[in-house]
Parts: sequence; structure tokens; C-alpha cells
Amino acid sequence: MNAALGFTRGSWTIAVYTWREGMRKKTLIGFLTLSILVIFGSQFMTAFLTESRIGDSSSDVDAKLIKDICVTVISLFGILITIFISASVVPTEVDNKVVYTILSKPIRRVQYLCGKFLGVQLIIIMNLALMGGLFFMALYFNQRVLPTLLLWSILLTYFQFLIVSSFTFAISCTSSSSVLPTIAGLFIYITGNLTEYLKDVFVRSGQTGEVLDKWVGYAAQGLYLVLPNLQQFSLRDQILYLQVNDPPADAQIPVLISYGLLYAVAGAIMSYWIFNRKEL
Amino acid sequence: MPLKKHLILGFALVLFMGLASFQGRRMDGLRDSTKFYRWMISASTQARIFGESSFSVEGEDGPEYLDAILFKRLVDVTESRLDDPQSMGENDLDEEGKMLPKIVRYSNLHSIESDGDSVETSVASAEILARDRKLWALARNNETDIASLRVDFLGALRNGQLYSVGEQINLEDFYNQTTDFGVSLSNMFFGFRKMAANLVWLEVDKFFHSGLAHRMIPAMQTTVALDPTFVDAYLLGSWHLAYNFTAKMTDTPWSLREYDTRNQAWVGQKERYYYEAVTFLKDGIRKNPRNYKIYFDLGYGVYYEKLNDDHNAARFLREAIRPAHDVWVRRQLYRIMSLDDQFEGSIAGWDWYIEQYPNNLAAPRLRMQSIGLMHERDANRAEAKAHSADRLAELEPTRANEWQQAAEAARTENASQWDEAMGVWDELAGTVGSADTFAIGRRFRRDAILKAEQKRYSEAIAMLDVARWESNPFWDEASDLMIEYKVISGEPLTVTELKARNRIEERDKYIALTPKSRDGILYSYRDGAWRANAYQDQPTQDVQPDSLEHHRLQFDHPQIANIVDLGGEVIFRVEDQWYRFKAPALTGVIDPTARG
Repeated sequence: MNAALGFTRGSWTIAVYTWREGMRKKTLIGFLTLSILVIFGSQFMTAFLTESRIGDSSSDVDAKLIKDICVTVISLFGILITIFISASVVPTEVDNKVVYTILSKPIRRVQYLCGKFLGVQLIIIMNLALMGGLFFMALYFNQRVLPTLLLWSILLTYFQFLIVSSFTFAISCTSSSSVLPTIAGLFIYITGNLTEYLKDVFVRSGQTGEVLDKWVGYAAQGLYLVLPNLQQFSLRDQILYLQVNDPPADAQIPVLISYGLLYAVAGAIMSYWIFNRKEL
Repeated sequence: MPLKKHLILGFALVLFMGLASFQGRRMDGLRDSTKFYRWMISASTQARIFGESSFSVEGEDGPEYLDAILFKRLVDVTESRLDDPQSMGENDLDEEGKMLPKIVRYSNLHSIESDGDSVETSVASAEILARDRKLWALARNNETDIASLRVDFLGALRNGQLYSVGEQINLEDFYNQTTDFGVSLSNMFFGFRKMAANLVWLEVDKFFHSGLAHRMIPAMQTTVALDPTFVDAYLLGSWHLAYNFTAKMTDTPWSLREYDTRNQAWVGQKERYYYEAVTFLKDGIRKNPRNYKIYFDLGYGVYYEKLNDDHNAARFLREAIRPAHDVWVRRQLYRIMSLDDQFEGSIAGWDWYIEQYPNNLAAPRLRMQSIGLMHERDANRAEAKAHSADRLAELEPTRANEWQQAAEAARTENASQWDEAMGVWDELAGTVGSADTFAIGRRFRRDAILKAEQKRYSEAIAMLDVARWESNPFWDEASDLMIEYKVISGEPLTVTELKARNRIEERDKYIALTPKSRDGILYSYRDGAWRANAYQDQPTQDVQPDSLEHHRLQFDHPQIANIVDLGGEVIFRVEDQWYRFKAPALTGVIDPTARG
């Protein structure tokens, strides 16, 4: 019991320290400020449009524009913040030798990694909460109705970031510089969004009857089964835009959350495996 | 690190990746079911609105479309699995009077009955939700026949073999685009497709202000291709097409128009824009089958305001009140139903509306207008009945007395109905401070017609001349009547009237055989005969004009006077019997359906 408590306390201390340090990073503050400005500015974007009313029917373009802009900004800046922070926390400490000081203390590598990972998640959650909160207010002031479904949408966005974050973090454990993990993180995000292509390749394979064609299909299917598919999280848009001909989302949300969590755990195990082999 | 630890970590990694992959496949299944669910809703709506025949695409280049086959299978697999929804009267029937499949009745919302008794039959939102949940469970069902249908649907979707999902810029993979960011267009934007749609929409707005109409259409199509759920793009786009593009155009002269078989209308450059708007909005309906605004804009904004097609206007406004809608939608529906001679439905609707919104000022007045028009219609029917009875007295001398009495009774009925109608118009026109100009026009109209019947044409013309300035809604009809009476009485026409008469004659020549609505039923001219839309080669009983059968039928069912008045051969239904009224073909008119 004491060991578990000690483990948690050690990890938590590192997490809080990581969070404090992360929040001081100028790049992150820049991204956050920019995103907040754009979300705030989304209120005024509709000024570029002609107000169009047909009879008594008012247009919903304003609300739609606000939603679209905010979703895009949160996704774009959110993922940049996620990648930059996940890619830099460990390599920076390896680079400036802080990791040696920490690991020379009675802190196990797994504790250190857990703390770092937790700290990264705290930073992501904090940023997402700030952007989401502002989005929430922007929508509320536009529609005068509490957009509670937005919270589900933000939650799913977080689990998408969690997958990217965990694998970027794992790659960052191999490196002493944050450049490579950052590029890898962007690559993970892009490929994660293009995984659907692999499915399409598999479905369309075998049409020529060539053996190679078939094998390419199998390879594509194998990769599709293993790689995370970030397009699965498009459910957050369905929740947010709430079209009347959409099916209930309640069956998909728990599956999607567990999907994100399982990949995150896999990423964390990968990080530990890599970091454990690292000669420090 | 010891080997054992490596093995444990390796095993844990594989385990969690495997579990995540398993959840991923579950999500794939759910997303496929989502597409299938959307198609169920959209296809059912389209089957009801456009008819199942709209799935059978003929003469299209490209892949072999599977919509009709898949929809038939959907109907079969759902027939035993769905509860029979509570009967909703004519809402359960299609345009041709056939019972709609269960999936169609189940997935569509019901709103009003037009037979007058129980108007408020809106399905409670809780029941709608329960039905949607049932459909969602069905879409996810893994029983063999449904699973196989779902697989075939997804295959057809992937291969672009579903026509019903959209006809603009080849949007076969619409369901991917709309919801799940599938492969193709959407991936180019990494999920920011809606943002791209907004940026293109800003361009549309810019083109509008620059007067670059020709550049707006492709940009609007791109916008809805990027975001098919962008309902406002459909609404504003169709508004641009039907209103702004055509604002400075004059109506195309009839002789320069071409017949558009798809829309069954004569069109020139200006009119084509109207039908572009119709197509654009219908495409919006396919993508957003449960958004009332699209139905409303199609019915009211385009069909009623621009195409003067009250039948289709009422048809789409009836669709608009199925989903949750704003209060004015019903007002327009009941008003337009009245214009399409659907008086009973309109009055029943107004009764319900007034009960729901007792403070609305317009509703009681519009309800009275429907009642007045209904009495006028009944008066005309009584007149037709009296005419038939008179003819029957001549054709059946043995029963002459009986028929003469019947004719007298019909004339009494006619007078009584006119009294009722005039009572309504007097009440409306006499309202101090807010005299109803429509009612004023109807009063003048009746008086002018009576004077004309007494051959007092000059008085009738003078009265109509005053009336049209008193009653704006009566202007066109009063002017037409003035021309008619001047021609009959030999009074000279003014230059304006001469031009108007030429225009009317020219127009009538062209539109004589285009689809027309009678008492809310659409008749189309095909193969030399008018056919009610529900007619599908059922056996008919021939009726010769001015024959004993004709007048007996018209005496029993005086509403047919208005139907046989279409001119030429007419196939219509009275109760469950089909009749073919064999009048000689109209001459001097253009038959747009004639081949060669």
C-alpha cells in the first residue's frame, strides 16, 4: 500500500512539475493565445457575410460558422500543442541532463515516465479546457442555449489527442532532441487520418488477379488493423452538429473512449519499453 | 533488462494493441451501421416524396445503380421486424394512393390528416425517438438477411452505385463525406472539410456582390459537396437561383421556350433557374431528409412564389410540417392547400391552428376565406348537378319529372351555397378597420358574374374595373374577366387588354396540356389522355361526353365537372371505379408529350 502511495506521489510530483514547466513554454503559449484569438474572432467572422433572411426564416449560418471555426481551431492548435509538448518533455530533460539528476534520486524510471506522461496530459487537458470553454461561451452567446453536447465533443477530441500524444511520447523516448519526435507526431496525426485509405486499398485489392495485388491488399488490411484510425473520432462532429437524421451516438461513445484509452496504454507501454532500454 | 521483462512488455503491448484493434473494428461496424441507418431514413423519405420509381434511373451514363433493388430488399427485411405504426389516414398513402411500405411509414413523421376529423396527429417526440432507436437497432442487427443487405449497401455505396444519395457532382460517396470523413474528398482536408465549405461559401457571397452569377453555381455546388449538411447553403443557394439571378430577367416568350420533360414544364432561360433551384433543394432533401426548412423553401419559396404551382407547394409544405418546424409553416400550408382546392384539409388545419394559437390574428381570417371558397366550390358543384339533372330530364323523358325536381333541388342548393359564401365574404369585408380585400374581391366577382349572366356586360365590366382597385388579390382575375366580357359583348379592348389577351391565348396554347391539379389531385397528359397520378393501367369504364352515363355520374358526383373540364380524354377515379371520359382531343394546342 505504502509502495503504491509512494509511487503515485512521486509520479504526481513529476507530473505537476512537468505541467508547470510546460505551461511556461513560449511556443505553447503562442499557440494557445492564437487559438483563443481565433475562437474569439469567430464571433465576428459572420460580419463578412450578407445577412440573408428569407421571409421570417432566420439563417443559422452564424452558429454554423462559429462551430466550424472553433472545431477547426481546437483540432488544429490542439493537435499542435499535443505534439509539441509530447515530443519535447523527455528529450529536453535528456538534452539538458536534468533526467540524470531525477533518476539519481529514489525515483524509478516507470515513475518518471508516468509522471511525465501525466504532466503532458494535464497540459493538453488544460489547453483543451480553455479553448473548449471559450467555444462554449461563444456558442452560448450566439444561441442563448447551453451547448452541453459540446462537452461530449470536447471529451472525444481529447481521446483523439491522447492517442497521438501517447505514440509521440513513445517516440520521444528514443530521442535526445524534440525535432524528430515532433515530425513523427505530425506524421502520426496525418497517417492516422489517412488510415481509411488502407481499408479502401484492401477492399479494392485482388481485382487484377495478380498475386502481388492480393498481398498488397493483405498488407494494407494488416496495417489497418494495427494502426489507430483517427477518423473514428469524427463522431464528435456528429454530436456537435446534431443532424436530425443522425442515429443516437450513445452506443459509439463508450467504444470510442475505450478505443482511445487502449491505444494510449499501448503507447505508454511502448514508451516504457523504449525508455527502459535507454542508457542513462 | 531481462528477457522475461521484454516478453511481458511485448505481450502487454500486443494485448493492448489487439484490444484497441478489436474496438476499432467495433467502431467500423457502428460507422457502417450509421451509414446504413442514414440511407434507410433518406431512401424511405425519398420513396414517399419522389416515389419508388425515382430510384430507377434510366438513360444515365455511368454505373448500374442499385437503389431500387436495395430498397426492395430493405422493405422485405423490415416488413416483419417493425411494428405496424398507427394508421395516419392519407399519410399512409403515396401520391398514387397505394399503401406505403412499413419502413416508409415507420421512419417518417406524421403530422396532419386532411379528412377533417382528427387533425392533430403529430407523433409525440418521445415516440419519434423510440422509433428512431428501433431503426438504429435494426441498422445494427446482425441477423443474416439484414447483415447481408448492409454489406451489399456498403458495396454499392463504395462503388458509386447509389443514385439516391445525390446527383450533384457525382456525390456517390456522400455518406462517407457527410459523416465519417471517408476516403476521398474529405481526407484532403484532414477533417477540416466544413471549414473549407465555409471558405467557399464566403466566395459565393463575394461573387453575388460582384454580380458574377455564373461563378456562383459551381461554387455553391462545391460548398454542398464539401458539406452536404450545410442547410443554409441550400436555402440561400436556391434563393439566389430562383430570385436574385432572375430578378432582372423578363419571362421568356412562350414560343422561345422548350419543354422540360423532367419537370413537365415549358422553360426558357429564366425558368430554367427556377427548376435549378428545385433540383438544388431536392438534392438538399436527399441529404437532409428531416430538415423542415428545405421543404418549406421548396414549397413556398420556389413552387408557390415563383412557379405558381400550388399543388407541389402544398405537397412540400405538408412535408415541412412533419419534422419540428416554426409556427408560420402551417399557416402557409393551410393557405396554399386552400388555393389548391383542398378546402376540407385547410379548414381542419386552421381549426387546429386556432386552438393551438388563439392569439394569432391572421388564422381566423384565413380560415374564413377557406370556408368561403369551399362554399363557392359547392355552389359550382350544385350548378353542375343541376345542369346534369336538366340534361337527364331530356335524355330520359320517362323520368323527366323526377330529374326536373332534382334539378330544382340542386338549384336551391346552389343558391344556398352562394348565400353561405356571400355571408362569409360580407362578414370578412365588413370587418371595421381591417376589411379583407380578398373578400371584397370575391363579393365583386360574384356580382359581376351575376350581371354578366343577365347580359349586363357594361355594368359587370365597370364593376370589375372598380373591384380590381379595391382588391389587390383580385386584380388579375378581374382584368381577365373584363377582357372576357368585353369580347363577348363586342366592346373594344384597350391596347393593353389586346396585348394581355394575346399573351393569354399564347400561354394557354402551351400550357393547355401541362400537369394540372383538380381538388388536390394531379392530372398529367400522356399518350393522348389526361391521367390522374394514381392511375396505373387499371380497367376503365368509358364515358361519352353529354351521354346518359356522363350526366348520371356527374349528378351523383358533381366534382367531376371540374375534372372533365380539363379538355380531351380524361382518366379519373370516382370512389373505387376508374372512368375514361372520351371527349375529343383539344385542338389548336401544343402537346409537349407528343413524340417526333
